[in-house]
Amino acid sequence: MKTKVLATLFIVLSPFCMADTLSNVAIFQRCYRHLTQTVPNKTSALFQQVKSGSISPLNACESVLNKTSFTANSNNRLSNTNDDEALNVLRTFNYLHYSWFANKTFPPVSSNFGASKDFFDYTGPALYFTKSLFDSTHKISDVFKGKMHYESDRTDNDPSISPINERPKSEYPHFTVPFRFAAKGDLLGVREFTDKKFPHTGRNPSFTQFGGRLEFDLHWGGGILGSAIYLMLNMEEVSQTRFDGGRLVPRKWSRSVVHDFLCRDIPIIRLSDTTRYVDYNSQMSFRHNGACLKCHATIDQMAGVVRSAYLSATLFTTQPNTGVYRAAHMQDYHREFTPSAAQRNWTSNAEADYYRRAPTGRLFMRTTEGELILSELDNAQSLGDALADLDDPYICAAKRYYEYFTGISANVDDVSDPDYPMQLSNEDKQHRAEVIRLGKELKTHQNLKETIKSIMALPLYKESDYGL
Amino acid sequence: MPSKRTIKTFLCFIGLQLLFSCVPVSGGDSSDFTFDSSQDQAQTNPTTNEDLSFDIFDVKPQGSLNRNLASATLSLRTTKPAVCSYIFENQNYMMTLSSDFKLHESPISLNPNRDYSINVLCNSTRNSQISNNVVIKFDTKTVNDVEPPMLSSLLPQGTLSADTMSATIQVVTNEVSTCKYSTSPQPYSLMGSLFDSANKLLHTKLISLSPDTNYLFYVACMDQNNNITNNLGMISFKTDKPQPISGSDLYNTHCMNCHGAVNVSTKRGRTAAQIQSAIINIGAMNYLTSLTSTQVELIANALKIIDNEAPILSNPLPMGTLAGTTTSTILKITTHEKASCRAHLSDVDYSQMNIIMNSDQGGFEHSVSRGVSEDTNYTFYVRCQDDSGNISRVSTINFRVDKKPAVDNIAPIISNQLPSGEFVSGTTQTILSINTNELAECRYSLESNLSYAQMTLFSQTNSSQHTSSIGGLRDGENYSYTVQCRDPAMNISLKSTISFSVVDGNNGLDGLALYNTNCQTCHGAISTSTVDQKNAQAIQNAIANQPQMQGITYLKQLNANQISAIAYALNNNQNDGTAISKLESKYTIGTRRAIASKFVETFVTSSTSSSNQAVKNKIDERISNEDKGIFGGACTDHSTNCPGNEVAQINAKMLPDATSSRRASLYISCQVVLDIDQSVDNALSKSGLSINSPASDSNIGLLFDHFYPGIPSSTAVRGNLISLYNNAKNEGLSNRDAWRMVMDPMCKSPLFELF
Repeated sequence: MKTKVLATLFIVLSPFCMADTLSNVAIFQRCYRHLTQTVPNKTSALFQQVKSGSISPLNACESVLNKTSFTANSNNRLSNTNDDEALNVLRTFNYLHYSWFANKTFPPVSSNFGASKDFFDYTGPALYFTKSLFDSTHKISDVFKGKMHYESDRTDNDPSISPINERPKSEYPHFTVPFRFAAKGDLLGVREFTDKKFPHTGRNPSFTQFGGRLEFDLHWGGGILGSAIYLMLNMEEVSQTRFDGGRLVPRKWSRSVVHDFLCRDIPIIRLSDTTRYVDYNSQMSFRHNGACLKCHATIDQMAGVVRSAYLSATLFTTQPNTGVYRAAHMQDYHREFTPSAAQRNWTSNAEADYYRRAPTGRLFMRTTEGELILSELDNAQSLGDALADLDDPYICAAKRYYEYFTGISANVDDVSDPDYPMQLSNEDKQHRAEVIRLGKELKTHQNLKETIKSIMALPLYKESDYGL
Repeated sequence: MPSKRTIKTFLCFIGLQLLFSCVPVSGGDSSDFTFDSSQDQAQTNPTTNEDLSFDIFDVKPQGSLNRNLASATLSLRTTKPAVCSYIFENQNYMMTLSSDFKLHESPISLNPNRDYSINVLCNSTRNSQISNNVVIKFDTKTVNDVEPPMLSSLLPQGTLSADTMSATIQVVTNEVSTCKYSTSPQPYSLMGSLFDSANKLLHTKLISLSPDTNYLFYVACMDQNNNITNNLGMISFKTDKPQPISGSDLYNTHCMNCHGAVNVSTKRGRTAAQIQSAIINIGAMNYLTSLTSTQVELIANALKIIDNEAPILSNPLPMGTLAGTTTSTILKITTHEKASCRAHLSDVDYSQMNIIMNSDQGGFEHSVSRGVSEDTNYTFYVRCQDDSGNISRVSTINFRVDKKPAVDNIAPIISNQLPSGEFVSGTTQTILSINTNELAECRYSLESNLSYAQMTLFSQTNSSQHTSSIGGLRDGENYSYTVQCRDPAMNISLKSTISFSVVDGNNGLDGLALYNTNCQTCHGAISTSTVDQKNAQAIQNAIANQPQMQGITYLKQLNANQISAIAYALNNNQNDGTAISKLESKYTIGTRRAIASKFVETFVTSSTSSSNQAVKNKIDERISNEDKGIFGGACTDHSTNCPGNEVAQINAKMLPDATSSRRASLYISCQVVLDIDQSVDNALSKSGLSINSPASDSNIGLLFDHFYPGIPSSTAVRGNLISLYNNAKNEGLSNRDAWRMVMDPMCKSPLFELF
């Protein structure tokens, strides 16, 4: 190796002494890299303007962020789809948003879900935030509202070869209508879809023909919370589960809601909050003591709003006893049975009718600032509304961006809980206070780009070491 | 128009088809009923003219009943199929039916000393408007009781589960009685055990049970008139054999709700002692104290992690060539799990290996001392066995013991003592560095009169290059470090010195006056100065590199002391020394895309030549693909330009950790990219240099700015880079290779990832 002899000489160069406050060029290098995940071309006009001092580095970066906007196709797509910088910004933030979610791909169930990936882009949940960031008409609270489905708008929105299994349409089993795979290629925007149903006459492993249709457009309300893609990524891993409100509850989903949108991990209530739910006569052992209830009281009650949802898998094959493809989609028992009366109180025991009852639930939690929340929910939309009314989802979004831009993971736990195990340092408290402030501002202005600009404008962002 | 009653009766009749017994039709208000005059109507079927009238007979009970009777059965027969109902205690009841709809019965409760008169109405099943009725009259006043009590509901019967610890045996009598039982057939008078008879009709007794046991109790009862049951009742049942309970079942019952299914339990691998301790010490688990130690042991067995994996061996030592003076060495090997290891001079089974290695406390590090001879090649074969009996694949420890050297009595010679000269104000740390002409161990001290043994070891030594980082430097101080080295033959060199100084903040100069003279025109008064980086290094760098300042002659004439004095004044007479060491260790912003882009920006030109493309391909291969997981950056297969398998893509982090593996990956990437001559040529070209450019201070500055735009370089750093170039040249390397060596540490610096 030509360079091998110098390996031990590296230390001669280090450490570099450098200033507390970065130069304009260095700040631009930093923010440009954060926005695009590339380094700026030193021959570019923007770099030269920063270098000459004719534009401040933050204004330069804001111009890069601002030009990345969905202004075409009814605010669903970049207008400048040939602009590499805009594409890089869009890609960077969509991936950043994707990295926020606890569950990033479909559950394994008992067999592979290979075919599902050909139809569903599993980055789907990230698109709700990406839409909000780049569509100026879209408020951040809209992430939790409505029954909108989003899918990636990419360079090839009707690929002839499936994106994951790379099977041509002609080999794909048995659809009776023109169908399309999930899009493939560089992301250009985020588009809405409705009525995405594909009838089929498939054959099962016994090579018996059967009919049906794959439906990708069911929605339980609450924006991202009740979207088919979010449920599919976070639903229990057994198909056709009939939840009973006891052992079987879609609590994987509600646990993800806590992680993904509140930046917290269960428990998010205090031990003293659990006493009202302790029931020694319950057949559910977790109802016997507060330690278990600290988690169950939040996630089990919240999960009631999607109790009727279930994962359904369809088997396809092209040859007897071979070539099985399992395509999954969400289904709704409330379409099959008229919902029975609501059971408002959290049932102590399993109940066979639970999945058929009206989708009521509760949001039971302590906020970042320690407030106890107990909201009665009628459905997934009322959960979305309840969350959007809190500061916490906005604090969570601010925390995520703050961490990305500074590397500092601010604490947003309920630190006033007397049992909270950690002692925050003064620095921890400062970062926490900063993130809470940014979150509350976000709740007011509802604009993610403004939050990003606020973070880049923080004094610590100009410090070589982020003030560490 | 049918009457209300007819409709209700019909509805109840329909219900009868399903239930064969009926419930009160109405809420209990008999005024709801209107008796119609069905008898007055034609008793024929209007369609067929068939006679549907019927009679009622065999009505029971009649007369006077025993006053102790608690219940009786109303009974009657109809000559044709009919449905009958009656009013009793203000409730309307349907009577149960036989399969031919002609026998009608209904049990009723009785009270003593009462007269009963019960109206029964029957309707034809063929035509509900055709009916007949009867009044059943009787009383419960008879006291001449010769009837023994009748026994019923002798329970339990059959098989009870093995875990049933107790059961209530019971018998029901039809009149007030006292009941006894025994385990063998005996007359009532000899039976020793009494039932508890709360209401004198239901007689119960709680008894303890054992698993896998047959139980038989004989029961007899006596009424208030001393009538005793003719035949003994029998309660016969058994308890099941206890099924062995598996650890998994116990886990599912007691642990699964909190810790998940057994195969994915958060407590896999826990021992019985640990579980027992948790039950005792964790408040929330106290309710599990009823578990026996055997049950806890079974749960622990269910949680055992089956180990099928053999130990993986790594880091065999020694390796390479040992000095010829070596007479013994320590064979070492590391395992990834707790294991026992053996070595052997040939490759044989573990059991046959005759050198038992000693393991450290954790069982991961294994070593044994062996005598060795000079001028010999050694291969030791090593295998290790873990606690589950899995035996590793063989690993080898290969090394050579050199020939004994000729006697060395020449001390090492020290050269290239760095740093030297002056550091700008605010410098707080630097690197002491010396070279020796042979392998040596070197030490340093601020005191000149210490012996070699009393001095401090360089942190990087035992080679021909020796470095150590020192901190605590202060403005205005002169530093003189004494250094001395010792070779393996214990020859100690002459002492040498490394001397340098850090200039004082103002160094006796008037910083304010210097600022006013040199800077005020452009940057305004010092109190509101527009100088954005108020430190000596940045000012020095700006004078050298900023186009607006480069042309100002008098600025170029400012020396380091004067610049430091200006910075000192700009900072309200405070020093400005800082470092980025904390940042380097904590935060890295570059994902694979960013790092690949940095490499391209540094080492690739816009040329379409194949050699240029080869550099780009190498960057893609190394960073975008091979080490994608380490460099991070989320990616999915739905996008293009996203190589790698799906799982790696999904798990790649958007905020990569600044781990040692990441650092190692950057090192390797720098190495493979810099191995390509075109990379070196391109980086020089993009800096405005060529391989034949001299490694002057200004040229090094240009290269530095190309690698880290916007980051100031210090004189000392540039000096070190120049030394690198010169050392390489002195070793006979070409110009390109000398530049390559300058670029190598620049590429591997954390700054390369950050800016």
